[in-house]
Parts: sequence; structure tokens; C-alpha cells
Amino acid sequence: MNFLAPLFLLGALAIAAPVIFHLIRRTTREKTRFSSLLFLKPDPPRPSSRSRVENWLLLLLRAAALALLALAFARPFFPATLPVGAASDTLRRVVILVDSSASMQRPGLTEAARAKAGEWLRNAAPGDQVAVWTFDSAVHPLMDFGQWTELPGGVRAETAAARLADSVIAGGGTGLANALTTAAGVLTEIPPGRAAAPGGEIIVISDFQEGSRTEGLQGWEWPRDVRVKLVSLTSDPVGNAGLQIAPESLISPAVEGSGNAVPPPARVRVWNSPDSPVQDFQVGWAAPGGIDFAGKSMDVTVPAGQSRVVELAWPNGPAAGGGAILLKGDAAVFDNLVTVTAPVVQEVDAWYFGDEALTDSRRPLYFLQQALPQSRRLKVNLLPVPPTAAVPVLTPSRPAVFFVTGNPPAPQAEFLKSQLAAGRSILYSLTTPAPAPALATLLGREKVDIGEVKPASYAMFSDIDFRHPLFAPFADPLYSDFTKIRFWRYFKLTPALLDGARTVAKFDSGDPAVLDIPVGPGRVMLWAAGWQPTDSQLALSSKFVLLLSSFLEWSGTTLTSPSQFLAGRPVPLAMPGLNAKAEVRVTAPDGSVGAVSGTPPLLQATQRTGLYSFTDGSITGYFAVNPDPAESRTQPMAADELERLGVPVWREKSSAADRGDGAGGLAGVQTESRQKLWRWIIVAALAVLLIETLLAGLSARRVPTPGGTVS
Amino acid sequence: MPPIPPSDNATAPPPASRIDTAALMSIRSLELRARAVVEGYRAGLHRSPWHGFSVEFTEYRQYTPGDDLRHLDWRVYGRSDRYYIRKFEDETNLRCHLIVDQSHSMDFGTVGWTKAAYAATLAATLARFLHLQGDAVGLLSFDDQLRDYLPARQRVGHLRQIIIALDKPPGGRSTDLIKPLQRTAEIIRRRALLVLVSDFLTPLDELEKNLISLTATGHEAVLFQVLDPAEISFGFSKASVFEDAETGRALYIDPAVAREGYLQKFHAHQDALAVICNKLGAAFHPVSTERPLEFALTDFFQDRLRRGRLVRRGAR
Repeated sequence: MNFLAPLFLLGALAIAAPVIFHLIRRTTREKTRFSSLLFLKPDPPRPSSRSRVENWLLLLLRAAALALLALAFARPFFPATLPVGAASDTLRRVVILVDSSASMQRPGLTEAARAKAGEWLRNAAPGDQVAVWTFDSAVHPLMDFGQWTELPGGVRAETAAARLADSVIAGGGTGLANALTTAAGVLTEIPPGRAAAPGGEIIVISDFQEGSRTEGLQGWEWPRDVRVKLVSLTSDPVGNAGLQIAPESLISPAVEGSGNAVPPPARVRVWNSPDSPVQDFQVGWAAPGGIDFAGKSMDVTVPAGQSRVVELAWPNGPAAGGGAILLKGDAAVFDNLVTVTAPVVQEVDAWYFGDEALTDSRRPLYFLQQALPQSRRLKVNLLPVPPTAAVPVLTPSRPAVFFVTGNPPAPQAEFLKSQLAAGRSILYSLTTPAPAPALATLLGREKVDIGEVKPASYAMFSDIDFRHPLFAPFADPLYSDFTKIRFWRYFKLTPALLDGARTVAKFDSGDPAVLDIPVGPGRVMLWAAGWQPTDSQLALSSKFVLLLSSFLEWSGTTLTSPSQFLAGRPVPLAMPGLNAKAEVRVTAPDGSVGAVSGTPPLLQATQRTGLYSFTDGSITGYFAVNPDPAESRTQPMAADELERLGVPVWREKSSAADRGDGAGGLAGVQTESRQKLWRWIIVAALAVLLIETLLAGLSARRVPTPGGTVS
Repeated sequence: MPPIPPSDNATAPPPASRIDTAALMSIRSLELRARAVVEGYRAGLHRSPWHGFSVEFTEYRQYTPGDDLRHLDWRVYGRSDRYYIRKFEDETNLRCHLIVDQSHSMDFGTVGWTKAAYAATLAATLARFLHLQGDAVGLLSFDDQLRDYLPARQRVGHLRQIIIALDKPPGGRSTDLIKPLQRTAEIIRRRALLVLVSDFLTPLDELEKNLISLTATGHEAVLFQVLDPAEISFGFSKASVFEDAETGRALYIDPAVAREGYLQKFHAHQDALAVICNKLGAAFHPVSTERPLEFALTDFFQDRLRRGRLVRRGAR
């Protein structure tokens, strides 16, 4: 009989406990009433009597229960004795997972990983099926079971090792959970010609750093016959410092009033690991090649386990696309270079058609001026167009959006209609009860009747469609309360206007409040009330700012897509004005050029870190791909982390079976798993405990009656 | 030492008891218990191989013409409308005094009832039996001193008083046989049958002296020693603090260790008691509380018959 966990047999030593307890004869406190002590003499408990064991049967039962429990925990199994020639029926499938995440770029780790993988490959038995994958945030198969089987036995290991040597170690994160679950899924597939999946073994060769992503294993049901062996690699020296892009503040004082003269500085976080032996670093813009500083560097002191945000002004203004920031003073250089994109300030022209002054605090324009969003990345130019003014001339390079209140004259209405035809958007707010010929012109109708409604008390928004992009930011119940926005006056629209329109919100009376009306390629967002305080409290609400921001985004004039991405993650290529139908050409940091198509175009190959550019032929955009910040946390993860998540980890030292039979430890584990002797032993232990309980109960209940009664 | 009669015989089939002892002792009323034993005993009397044994009469037998009508038992006739002749060995009136130990040492039992209950039932049974025969029965109960004394009488209602006195719970702090015996010697001047019911678990020196003084005055003594099976075998298994039922004295006793010494002393005590009784011509009946009461009665009467024959043989 073999044992999977023979150390548990030491638990059998606990048998000594009941023996000692049986030897200890407690000084009883029980009293026995007896007729006369005439024939008895005092008999104090003597030490000599301690050597006598009482209740032999109970003692034996208790000892047996303990011994059975220890035996069960030791996971015994009978070694499977395969008949000669049957060995070939045992299919052993192994997936070797080699970590190719950014943290493996530390000195010596990649070489060690490849050497370990080479050992396993060479030790594979001829009947084994081996797959070799690398993994970072995704899994990259280098050789699958079919390819392994097809290759001649002599070259399998060499071929797999060669493919492994050619694989790229890039800046991706360690998606350990993804790799393990994918490999386990492959091992549970039923191979051709077999009735059931034989299970198998996953060998993970990694540095198992703390930043490995294991969340995906939570709640994942691990297949029965798949075991995992961990081969842990350690790097010398320990400790790591890294750079991470820090989120920029949305509002930058530098933008306001000074235009683009002073671009906002780049912000990076210098992070130092808890086990780091150093704390003094230098940070600065990197020269091409990313090895030296381009100019003067900044000294930064970050104690171990802490982080610090550093702002670096752009040297001589932002470079084309962006630049790289370098950290020096740290031995592990894989995360010491980050790329930042140059700040691009998006400029939008917001044309306002209405007869009012900017300073009139009772009119809509005043509040629009206050509420239009301005940020580090967005500059909105509010351009009023009075009724007497000529038709405005748009700047071709700038997106434009239109706000209309009142009733613009016919030329302006025709101009707006032409903008709708060009695919632009208009926010039309009704503020006067007069018939609205401009609105009729915009919507392409002969006449639009508008009836003024003054509710007895007030009206409120009701039936808001939170799926519409205008109100989507308010979908969270925390922000969806619009009851504080009251309307003293609104305008009832003719039902004919509702044809083809989407009612985004209604008043509580049931009348439409906000309509989304498509007109050709353009759209009109029709508000049936004014936002100024004479008509409603809308402009006084903080929600008004966000509504305007949503409108700008909905109209396509602004785009909040990020320009910073993590290596290994897909990147959507989007920017205002990008021709979605054209093929987008992407230039990677190493200079290679690829084409991406789709709506929106999605770039999958982002393993390499650095500055990417993409163009549709007319405009060019940039985005930066940086190492996963989690990779900087290079201290080893908790030893039992994977076991805690339910992964059946097979450790070399803990398994006697591993050293035992020729089929390897997995065979022992599988044999034990098949036989499950421990279940029967537990049942036997329970039975023994039951008998012991009954016996002990009987003996305890027995009155101290004479053993030899008078008969 | 006379062997303590077993409750059943392992080798020969035991004489079937008509009354289950446990069932009998579960009857709360002492009077009912006594009546059950006596009636059971009398119902089996005529099937008994030992016809005629009794204290003074030999037997009841059915009247046949020619018998002396003076021996006709009119009470039996009054109850059963049948004529029975009482045959007597001795025409003299028998006076029986039941001397019953009601000390705390009797308040002990491991078979479901105490020695006191068993002794009271035994005494009540004898009283009822003798009373039914028309003999005078008295009672003297004691613990460490005299508790109740009822002179030997044969009148109606006297048996009831005896049973009420016997039904009292045990008391006292010790068993003192000496004082009751001395008191008996003072009170009972006329020759009588003295039936002592006790466990006799006391020092025997004084007992012998007083028994001598009693037998010397012509009293006939019968000693019923009521013992619990635990006292006979000391079959306890668990070491514990043993508390004296009378004095409250406590000793830590490991039965495994103490059993041998106990049995040795116990048997020596029993032997000494038997020797004393033998010397004084007193009948000694050690009785285990497990033993059916009617068997105890049978032993008693059988012994009486044997002694009568011995007496008669000696008289010839």
C-alpha cells in the first residue's frame, strides 16, 4: 500500500492520548452509598494502581478510530499493477505552460524557464502527448497535442524547445487563471478514439509573482482528473521599481485662458516594491532607444513599498504622438520605460442660434456658457449667432455642434438644415409659444404647432429612457433622481412630430419632454422646455452639465476614448473624424506596419510596448501601450494561493507517489483518486466511533451494581 | 456458616415461585404485600411435600366426621364455608415478637428495593400468617434505639397496627441491637418466639451476651439476616467514595482492591454469627433480598419442623 500524504500517518501517534487517559485514574468524585463500612478500610488511590488500564475495549476502539483517521488522511492507495503490454493504454497528456509576461524579462528568468521546459520535454515518455504554450494575458500555443504526435519521437522535444526559444517575451500581464482554465479545458476534451477524457497534467513554469491574475479561478470548478504542477522560478536580485502612467486630472488650469501654449505635464507613478533594497531613482524623458535620458533627469526617492507621482513637463512642447519616460536606479528594467501620448486638446465649435446677450442671466445662453464642459482634452468654443447675423462659416478642421432656442430666421434655418444633411446634430430647445417655422424647416414639415402648457404647480421628468446615450450616464440609481428638476412651463408638440422620433423622456403629464428625431444623416435633439430658470430648474441642476457633455459625445463631436493601453489587450482604434469604412494602417513601435479593419477597428497584436500610430490616410492618431502595472509587483505570490482557489496543486516534495512508481506522481494521484480508499476508512472510523459511543454510554449509565450478584 | 440461600438453583430446577419478587416489592402497600405472600404461600401449602410444618400447628386439613370440633377453625369456616381442622403440636398459645431493624443501614438496596422494604415485608408476612392462625403477634422496631413497641396480641386490628409500624421509613444513626434486646428481655417475661429481622452488620460481642440472656429466659430466637446481594459479593466495579448509610462516614474505596478483604471479613462475620446462633440454639436465616419471600417463609417453617423433630427426638 502506498500513501499520497504519508506525513499524516504521524497522526497515529495520537493513539497515545487515549492510552494515557485510560491510565490516569481520576480521583473520583462519585459517591456510593453503602449499608455499612464495617468491613472496609480506607483505600486511598495508590500510584501503583495507575499502571492498570481500565476499559480495554473502549481503549482499543478509541485507538482504532484515531488510527483509521490518520490512515484516511494519509490517502492510501494500492499501486495499480498494470499487466505487461497494457502500459500503452495509459495516455498521459501534459500541457506545459511557460510564463511570457513582462516580469519574466527579469535577469535569468526566461533562460531558466526555457531550461525547465526543456527538461520536461526531454523526460516525456514516448506515449505521452505534450502541448507547449506560452502565456501572458492571453495564451499562445506553440505546439499542440496533434503536432506533438505527428512529429517523430526523436525531434519532438527539440522542436518544441526551439519554438519556445523563438517565442517573444513582451509586456503582457500574467493571466494565470486564464492560462490554467484554458489548459484544463483542453485536457478535459475527449481525444479521438477514446470514450472519456483521460485528464492530464499541467506544468506551469513561472515566477508566480504577486501581480499574477488569479481572480478567474474563483468559483471555477476544476476538472477531476487534471492536476497542476508548479515550477517556480526566482530572480536575483530581488526587489523591483517600476513606472506606471498616472491618470491625468480632468481639469487643467493650464488649458484655460492660455490655450495650447503650455501643454499639461505628463504624470507617472514611481512604484517601489516592498522587498526592494534601493529607494533612490532618477526619472526623466528617455532618448530614442529608451536607454538614456534625453535631457535632465529628476531625482526621486521612493521608500520600499511606497509610490510617488511625478510630473514631467514636455521638453520643447509635445513630440509628435508622444514620448517615453525612463526610470533608472532599478535592476529589473522591464518596467522602467513607459510611453505617454502627447496631450491632444480637442476643440469643438458650439454655435448658438438665439437673440440674447451672453450676460443676460435670465436667458438660456448665459447658462449654456456656464455649463459647456471644458477639460484638459476638450475645448468648446461657444459662438453665438444672433438672428440678424449672417450664416456662420464653419472651420473645416473642427467639429461643430448647434444649439437653437427661439425661432431663427429662414436663412439660418436653411443653414441648420444643411448641417443636418451633413450629419451634424442640433439641440433645439423650445422657448417661445409662437409657431415654429424654423423647426418645421429643420424637420422638413410644412407646419409645426406648439401649444404652451403651464402646469398648475409644476411638471417633472418622467419615463426617462436611460438606455439613450443622453441619459445613460444617469442610469445608476444613485443619479437617476430627476424629481428635483421642475418645469414651470413647457410646450406640447403636435403628434405628427412624434413619427419616427424616439421619446427619450416625458413630462409627468405624459407629454414628450425630450425627443431624438433623426433627420437624414443628422439628428435633432428636441427639448420641449427651456433650461433657463424662467421655464425650469434644469440649468440650475448639476445634471445639466453632464447632459450637455452627453449631448456632445452623442453628437460625435467629442470622443472620450483613452490613448493609453496595456500590453496584450485589444485596442479599439477610434478618434473623431476617423473614416470607419477605410482600412486602418497601424505602425507598431518596432516599425512594423499592419492593417486593421472592422467597425470599430480592433487591434489585437499589442504585445509590444511603446507608441503606436494609426491612420486612415487622412488623419493620424496615436496610442501608447505599456506593461501591465501588475507585473511590477514581482514579490512571490502566497504559497497556498492556488490551493485556496481550488487548483489541485501537485508538489514534488509532498508526494511520495511522485518518487515512487514509474508512471510518475500523476499516476499515483489518479490511482488514489480512482480507488478513494479514504472514504471507506472514514466510514470504518465512524462505525468504530459509534460503537465506542454506545459502549461508553452504556458503561456510564450503569448503576454501580455488583458484578457478582447473589444468585 | 450456613449458606445464604440462593434465589434460584443453578443445578436443579428451582421451586417455582408463585410471586415475582420484583412485582411484589413494587406494591406500595405493605399490607397488600403481606397478604399476597401469605395467600400465595397458603394456596401452595397443600401441594407442599412438607405437610404440617408450622410454628405450632401441624396443618390445616379438611374436617372429617369424628374430629374434635374444638379444633375446627371457625374463622376459616366463616370465610370459606368449609370445615378445617387445625392440628397443633403444642396446645399452648404461641406469642411471637417480631423485632425489626429500621436503622439506616437497612435503607440500602441495589436490586430495586431496599433491605428495609424486604425486611418489613418479611415481618408483615410472618405477622399476617401467624395472626391468621390465631397466634399473638407483637412488634418491636428499633434503629439506634427502640422505635415502636406493640405487645403480642391476637385481637382484631392489631395486625393493622403492626403493619403501620412496619411501614415507617428507616431512621436513626446506627444499628444498636443491644438496647432493643435488653428492652425485650425486660418487657417480655413470658416465653415467646422472638423473630429478629436485621442485617446484623454490627459487632457481635454484645449481641451474643444479650441473645444468651434472652434464650436463658426460655425465649426461642429466630434470626433473619436480610442482606443485599452487593453486601454478599461486594461486586462494585468503580472506585468511588463509599458513604456509610448510617453514620455518613466516607471512605475512598477501590473495589478491585478492597473486595478480597471485604469478603474475608464478611464471611468471618457471618461465620461468627452462625456459630453464636448455633451455640444458643437460635435459628439463623441469612436471606438475600433477591430471594422470593415465600421461599424464605418455607425455609423458616422447614427449619421449624426440623427443629421440632429434633426436639421430639431429643425428648424421646
